[in-house]
Amino acid sequence: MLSDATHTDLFRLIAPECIIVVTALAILGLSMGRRNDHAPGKSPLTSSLMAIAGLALAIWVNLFHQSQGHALDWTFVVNPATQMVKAGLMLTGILLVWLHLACSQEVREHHAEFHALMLFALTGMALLIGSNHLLMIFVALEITALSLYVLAAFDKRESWKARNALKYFLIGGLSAAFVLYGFSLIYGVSGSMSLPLISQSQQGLPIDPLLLLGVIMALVGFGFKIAAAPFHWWVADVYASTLTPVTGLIASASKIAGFYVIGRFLWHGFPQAAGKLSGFSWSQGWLPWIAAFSLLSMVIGNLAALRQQRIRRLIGFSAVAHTGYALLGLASPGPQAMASIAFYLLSYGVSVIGFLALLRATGQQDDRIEKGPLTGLWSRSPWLAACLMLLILSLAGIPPLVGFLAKFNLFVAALNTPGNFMGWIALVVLALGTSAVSLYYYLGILKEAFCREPANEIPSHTSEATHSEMTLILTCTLITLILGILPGWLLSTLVASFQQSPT
Amino acid sequence: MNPFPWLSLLTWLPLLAGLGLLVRPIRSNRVLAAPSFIFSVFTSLISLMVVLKYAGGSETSQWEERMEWIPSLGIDYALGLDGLSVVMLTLSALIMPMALGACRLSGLTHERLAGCLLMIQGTLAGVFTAQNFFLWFFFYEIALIPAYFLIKLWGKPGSESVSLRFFIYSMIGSIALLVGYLALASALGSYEFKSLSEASATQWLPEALGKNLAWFNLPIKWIVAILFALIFGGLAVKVGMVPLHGWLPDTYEHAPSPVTMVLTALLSKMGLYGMVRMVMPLLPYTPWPLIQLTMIVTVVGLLYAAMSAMGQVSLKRMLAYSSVNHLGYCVMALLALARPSMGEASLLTAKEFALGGLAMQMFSHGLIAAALFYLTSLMEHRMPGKISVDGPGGLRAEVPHLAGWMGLAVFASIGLPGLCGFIGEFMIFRGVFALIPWAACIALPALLITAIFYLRMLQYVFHGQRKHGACSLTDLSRRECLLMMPVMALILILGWFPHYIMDLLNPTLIEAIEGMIF
Amino acid sequence: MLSWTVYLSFLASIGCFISPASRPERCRWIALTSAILTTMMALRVMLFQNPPEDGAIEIITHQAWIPTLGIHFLLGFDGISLVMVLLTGIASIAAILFSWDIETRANEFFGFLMALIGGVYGVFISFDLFLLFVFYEIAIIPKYFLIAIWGSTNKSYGAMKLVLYSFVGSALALVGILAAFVVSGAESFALQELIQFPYEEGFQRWAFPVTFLGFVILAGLWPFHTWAPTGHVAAPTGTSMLLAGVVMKLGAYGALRVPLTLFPMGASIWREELALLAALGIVAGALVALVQQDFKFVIGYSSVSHMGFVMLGLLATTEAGLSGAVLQMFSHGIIAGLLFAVVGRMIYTRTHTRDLQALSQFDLRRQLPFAGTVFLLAGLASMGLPGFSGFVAELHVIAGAWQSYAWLSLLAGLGVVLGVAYTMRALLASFWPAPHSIPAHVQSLPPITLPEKCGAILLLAATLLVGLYPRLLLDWVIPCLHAPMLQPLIERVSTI
Repeated sequence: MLSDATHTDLFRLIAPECIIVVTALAILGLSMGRRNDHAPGKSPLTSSLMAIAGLALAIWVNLFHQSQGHALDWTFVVNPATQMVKAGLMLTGILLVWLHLACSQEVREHHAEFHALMLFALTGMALLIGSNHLLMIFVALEITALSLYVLAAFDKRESWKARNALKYFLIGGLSAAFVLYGFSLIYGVSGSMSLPLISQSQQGLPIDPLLLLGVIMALVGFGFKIAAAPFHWWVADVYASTLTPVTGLIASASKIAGFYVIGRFLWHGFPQAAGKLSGFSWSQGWLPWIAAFSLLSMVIGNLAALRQQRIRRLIGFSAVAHTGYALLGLASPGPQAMASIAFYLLSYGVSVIGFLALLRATGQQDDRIEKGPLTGLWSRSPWLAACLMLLILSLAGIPPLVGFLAKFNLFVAALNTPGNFMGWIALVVLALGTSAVSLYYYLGILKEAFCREPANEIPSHTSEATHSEMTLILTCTLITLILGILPGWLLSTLVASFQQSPT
Repeated sequence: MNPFPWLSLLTWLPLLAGLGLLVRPIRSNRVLAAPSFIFSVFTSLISLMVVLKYAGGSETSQWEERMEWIPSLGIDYALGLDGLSVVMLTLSALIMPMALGACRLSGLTHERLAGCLLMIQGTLAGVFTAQNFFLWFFFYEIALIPAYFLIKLWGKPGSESVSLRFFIYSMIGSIALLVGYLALASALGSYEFKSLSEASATQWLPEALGKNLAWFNLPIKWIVAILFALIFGGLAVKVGMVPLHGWLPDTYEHAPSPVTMVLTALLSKMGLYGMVRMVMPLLPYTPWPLIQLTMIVTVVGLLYAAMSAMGQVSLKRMLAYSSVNHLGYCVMALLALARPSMGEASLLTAKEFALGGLAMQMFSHGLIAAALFYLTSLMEHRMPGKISVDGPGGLRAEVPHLAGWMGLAVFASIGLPGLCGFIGEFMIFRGVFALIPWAACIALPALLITAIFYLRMLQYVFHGQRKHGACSLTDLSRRECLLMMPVMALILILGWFPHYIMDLLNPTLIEAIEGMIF
Repeated sequence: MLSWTVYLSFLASIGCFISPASRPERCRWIALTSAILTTMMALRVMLFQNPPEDGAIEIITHQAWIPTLGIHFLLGFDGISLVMVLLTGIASIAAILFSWDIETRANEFFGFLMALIGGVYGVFISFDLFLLFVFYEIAIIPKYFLIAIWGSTNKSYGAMKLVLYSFVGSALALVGILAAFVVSGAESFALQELIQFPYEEGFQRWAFPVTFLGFVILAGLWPFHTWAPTGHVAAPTGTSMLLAGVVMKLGAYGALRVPLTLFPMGASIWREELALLAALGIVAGALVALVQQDFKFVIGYSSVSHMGFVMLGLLATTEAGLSGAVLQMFSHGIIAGLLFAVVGRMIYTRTHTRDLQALSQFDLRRQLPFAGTVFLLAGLASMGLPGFSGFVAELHVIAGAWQSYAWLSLLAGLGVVLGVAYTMRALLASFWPAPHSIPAHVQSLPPITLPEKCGAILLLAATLLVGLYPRLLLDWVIPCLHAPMLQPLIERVSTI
């Protein structure tokens, strides 16, 4: 498609995003019209249903009614790969809205604003996925981030939560600065903002140290967003203090978008950046950095999670570890690798949303409660306990659940990296070793739920799962189970879509 | 069509019958010893029938039964008879019913005891007819279990630890043997005894060892030496050779006398039989210094056993050491065969004497030891408690028949010409003198010592004055006499007509001697 | 047909999970029925089908599963698999019978148990390495719950240690499988395809030990065996029977199927060192068993010792050694099950102690004559007495080892001697204590129940049958060793 696109074309490229934004605005407008909506305790059913309907419509348009192509100097790109990833993103969005609906007693007021912010964040992420242009990437990043800052501070009941939200905001700002600085360096050296053009301009040239610095700076900034070590300090605090749907959003959707944009940024912008590091010759100068981030994330995430007594902090650190595994997939350029990352993040997102919902359903809502509510879950609610087991085992990467297959895919991708086979093997060995470590704390959770007798009197903060919570948890569990046993269709589709999307 | 598997019948009938008696629940206190005795006699009669038929035939190997068993190791289920097997089979056929009868007569009427003994009878038939190591070892090991329980459950107080020692010693021996023979068999590619002796005769053995067992590039001599040490050592434990006899005196003393009878007369023969089958083919290749060393240990050991016997107070211990001594002669004869004959006719003849003597001694020691322990068990039944050799005195007046038969057995054991013990010992010394004179010289005094302690025993126990008050004992009953008649008769007959046995043995032995190269 | 062993076990597992906890008898019967049916399937094949002459793998199911990675749902069996499937069947029937009286959370217990059994069946009949690995991992997790919920002594620790060891092992194995797949550039994870590729020596040099160690950690190779005794002791009886009986075999089986088959060159480089470890394990396990006071620890360490024979046989890489290893897997599976059954179920649930000293107070031989007889026979079988399956197996192994490394078979022989010693020690201390140590008034114990008797008789019959007529298994195993798949391994050795 030509770069001088008409407005109609432009609109058709970003139709799904537009739908989401319109939905968000409609939700806001509707709630303004109804004064009672802001009252505490009001059910969020209307706005939730609207949000879900909007997202579903966006998915439908996105998958079946969209023209492919790009516009405005690759500012907006639509190809099968972005379509697939966006669909995944919006699907997790639906699950998150549902999660909010399910645990509505947690967010007691301002449902409409909450939903609107979530939808705005999702819009930002969708734009992030669909862009090859540095400027647009930054803008989309900020749309997402600003929405998330507000969402993180949404629970104002306790001051320490606000403090953590502030921390998130400050660190987010810092990371944005890194990204911006990196981008400006890149623009300065290459003279272009569009990734394909940058790549063209650098073809055949030896890597410019300044350019590499720019890439690294941007990577650091992205590292904050996807919670890779050593930029992970905010993770545990934020996971512990935000509302459950927001935690879910940070853990699942924002990672999907973040990883996709990193993959595009690196492999489309700088595929040729040859360089040397400590004697190894790498085909891409930034590859050692990815390897190092991955290694650090796996080690730090898992070891730190080992020490956590509080379950939300534990999820936070394990999220760092999962980032480390996913980074392995960036080692390899092919569609297989990209598909494996997408598959991994989707499966992780579903498992973690299910797990968060389950925690919520058992009354586990904030940081200060330890594993208590899970104790003896098997006798209180055997079905929830069974779901817990499957979700946790999926997170730990045990077959036949999807978590295992997703990791396996990543390892195959990492090992298929051309050159330096032994180095990647070592990294895979480390990944497997740290997943053995992770098994220890995951089993610790299961031990609490299955091997302890329930306390005689049920603690006050536990609660019974509502039907809506139950359905959500079951859905997530079934997805992890079914995708684990029959992943063939989704994987093939993902690989095919990446194959059809050279840019 | 296959002929009827008589040998399998001989083996499995008593074995399964014994097992049946063991697992049958005992509901009342009334126990029946009769079925086991009948089974035993029945088996013995079949054995004797087989033996007579064998004697009527002309081949050295007869009655072969063969069936594929474990193809992956080339192991067949193969039983068969040659001269040596026949003789040993005869021995067990004679002695097992006697032992069972002795149990009954000395008040050991427990049905499970009889069951254990029956099992032993079956395994003995298996051991003496097995054609390959695997099957042989199978029965050899199974025999251990009933023997262990016989000692443990029906032995004298304190037999717990004794039986354990017996078991552990035997197992260690067995495993050394197993490991050693497995190496040999894996080099030869066959577990058949026959292929071992053939490999030895055709000088293929060293080549096979060199090809398949080149450990650390050891010279073949060393490999043979290691194998010899493992196999010979393993078997020597069973024979009770000094210095591996640690289990023997205590076991013989603590076991009930009828059981001791089986232990010494038959179970120790399994070891000797194994030596003839497995060690003899190795001898030509074993380094001469090792043979000499073993010889020294053997002859010094048998001398030591004789002297120990002299020092014993308990009658059963004395008999135990005397057994060690007598079987020592057999081992000596076996080792003497290692002397290269270099085609000299006289040495060849000497070898025939030594080997013939060995077989004869095995047979006659079986008879004599059985008789001695049989009579001891009867004495024990009459006067409970330990019988000491400087003991009661004056028994002859009270129990003249018992004393008389005891005298006969003792003289046979001393080796008085005219009784069967003499033949075996004479042949052994005749052979060994010609082959390794110094060994015979060292061993000779043992004969004298044997005479001394046996005669002293006769004197103190049966003659002289009764020491501690007179209590009237009953003499042998007719049943008791009848039971030992076959054995006693053979002791007498073979003293004059050894060729009944030697004719059976000779073809096999000559074949074996000729099979030994040089 | 044989693939139904897997499906049926998993169905039974689900059935147990969803049946109400208040009806334990229903779960028992579901589990038992499924175990018996699966065993019948294996027996049917073994008895009514002729073993293929060329030892070829009979494919049961072959379907594309994850096309992007070339992963197939490929189930099949050859003689070795069949033997292991049969073992699993017998051991699982016995394990269920010996878990008959479990009342607390019986539905979950049998659910986990059947899941474990299903995973084990799956490993034995998978010929796609990915699938094999999936089942291998499926078998790990139920173990944790079985031990941590229904276990005894130090159960949390034992369970966690066991699972972590297994997981680390499987991780190493996965590395090997992945590397083999990536390096060969094959389009498929099927074993048959992967062995076509000639892996270069430098690759095999490191891939073999990694993969081999990964698998044999689960088989209890010394010095990576420490999970085994603690895990076995902590586990409830039915589970220890399966753990020692079948799960340890997963490791050995995996080692035979994956590293030894794929990397014969690597095997010939490393086998001497690894065989030394195996032989040391035989001796060390036996020595430690000799000084244990806890009856179950004696058995636990004896398992380590016996599994040493399996690995020695595998590493001998001769025909005798390999067939011995398979036989020993079967034999130990049965015998260890029997020993654990006597100690953990027949004795412990009645006396509530496993201390050898304390057990002498109970006059067990008169109180539980059946247990005494069973333990005696099991002990004799464990010592490797002729007539029982252990003897044939250890004979094969030692014979195989003589051809490869003579002096190690001396160590193995020493291990057998020590085996006699510790078995006798335990036997005497528990069932035949010195008469004076038995108090005048012994607390009376409940009699042996019918399920216990059935289980014990089943296992005894199996070990005796194989001991007396090993051809039953060997006729199936031997052709597999002649199959082209294992030829590179065996030929390499015979040319050295």
